[in-house]
Amino acid sequence: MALVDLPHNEIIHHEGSIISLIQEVPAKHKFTIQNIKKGNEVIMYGNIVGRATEDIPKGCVITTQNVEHATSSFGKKHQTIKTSPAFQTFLNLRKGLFKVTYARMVRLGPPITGW
Amino acid sequence: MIPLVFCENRNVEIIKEAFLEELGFNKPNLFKNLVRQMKKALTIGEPSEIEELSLEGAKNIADNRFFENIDGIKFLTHQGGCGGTRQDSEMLCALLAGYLNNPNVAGGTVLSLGCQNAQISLLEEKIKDINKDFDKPLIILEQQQEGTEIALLTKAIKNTFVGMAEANRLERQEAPLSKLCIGLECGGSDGFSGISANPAVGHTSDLLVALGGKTILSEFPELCGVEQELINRCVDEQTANKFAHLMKAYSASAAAVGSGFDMNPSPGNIKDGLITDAIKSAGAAKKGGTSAVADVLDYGEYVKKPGLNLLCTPGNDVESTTAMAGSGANLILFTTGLGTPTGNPIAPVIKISSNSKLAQRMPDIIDFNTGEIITGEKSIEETGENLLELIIDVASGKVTPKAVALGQDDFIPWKRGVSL
Repeated sequence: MALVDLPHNEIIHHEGSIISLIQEVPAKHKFTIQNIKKGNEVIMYGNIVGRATEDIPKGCVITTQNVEHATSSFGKKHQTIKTSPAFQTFLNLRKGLFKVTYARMVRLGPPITGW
Repeated sequence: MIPLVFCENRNVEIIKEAFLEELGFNKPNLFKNLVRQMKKALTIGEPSEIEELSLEGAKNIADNRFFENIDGIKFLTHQGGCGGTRQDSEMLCALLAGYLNNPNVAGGTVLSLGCQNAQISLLEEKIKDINKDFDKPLIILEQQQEGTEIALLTKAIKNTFVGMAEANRLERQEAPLSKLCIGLECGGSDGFSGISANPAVGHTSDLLVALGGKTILSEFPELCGVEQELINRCVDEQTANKFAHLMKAYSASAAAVGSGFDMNPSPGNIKDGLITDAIKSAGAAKKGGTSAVADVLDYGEYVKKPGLNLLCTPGNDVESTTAMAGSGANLILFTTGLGTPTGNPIAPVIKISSNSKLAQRMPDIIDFNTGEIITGEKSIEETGENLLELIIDVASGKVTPKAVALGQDDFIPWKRGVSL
């Protein structure tokens, strides 16, 4: 994703690969980091988020013209993800802080709304 | 003050007019003075002066609440309660019961017509389902029993006033953070929402979950594409199956009317980088952090379990925030990239911007900025911790969120079925 407006021909280094933008990419918009063939899936955060409706070269902005909505199917719970491992570490590391800061009591009520 | 059916909306409005100003709860309307000045300009034959008029000189009314310990009296109106499916009336009663049970509410007055689908007995049954020990002052009046409108209104106003005097004796008491139930909402999202505001809120949610609190992630059409991940995070198979079932039923009902979840992104979303519903969903789901899914609730069900809860609601922001407060949220975190004014009558809504430009452009509605995550000046974790501090201040009554100060009391119950 472009965090700022990126000009045409800008060179992006991404996880060891080099991407040359073949067009201007406005901030907030996403561009392809590899060539995507027409009909192939578009993956973001490891999830399918769309399908290419035309061949999209590497370094190109994805738009409603070249990508349509698509998702992976879902069904039974087939795996248990261990949630929040990073957060557990964080809690342990910051226990002191939690005692000082977050063990505070919050004053609730009287109701934010009365009636 | 809530009507069981739309026929009572006018009576609610009359009571509102009687109470708000007299009890010192009204919000000043700065534009009244402007209209007065324009009338004057036209009367004296100087319409060209209108261009020069300003809002200056309009006064803010000082806080002069008659009941000091009551922060407000809210008047909800809606378009349901009769004429639709019985399931819709049942869902409405469950929602209203949730509003009455919400810890932010000290008591309530309910106006019924008498012959409508949403019967008083149905509301009472739903209240009992949520909390069999419900003991707040509750006044329920029925117009077809009371006779004339004047008789109904007089009784409603007198009883409400006496009930408020009783509620005014309540004082703030210390409570642990585990008593917090936080709604996680996004609206008017942009391409940055999924990498700044939403993951920051997700981290806050994880902190609250670790502290024993409850959080609610809703808007099922905006969890389209991340279902399997959420299913795998469910605590057990039963919870996972309920989520899968609700998602499939909802998607099928959208398809039955010739639409689909893929139609969700708005023109504003698309312009700012969210081009498919699945892209929007991948970012929206970040608000739920990385915690396990403790429970899955259908619309109108009240939150029971500590931890992250999923609540089935539409992606419409106001239908969603309305539902979260009805399911027990006592505060709502609302992320936005484009800037929306949404509030809720009973749960304070904290507005969080995904980018600094928005926070600068619309400071009157934005409470908290996460734009520094985009520029790399702050981490998601640090921002999430700061947000938790703000939550504590708002819950403690030290900080008033913008939507509360503006009186943005949005309330739209979900009409799920067809009209009959």
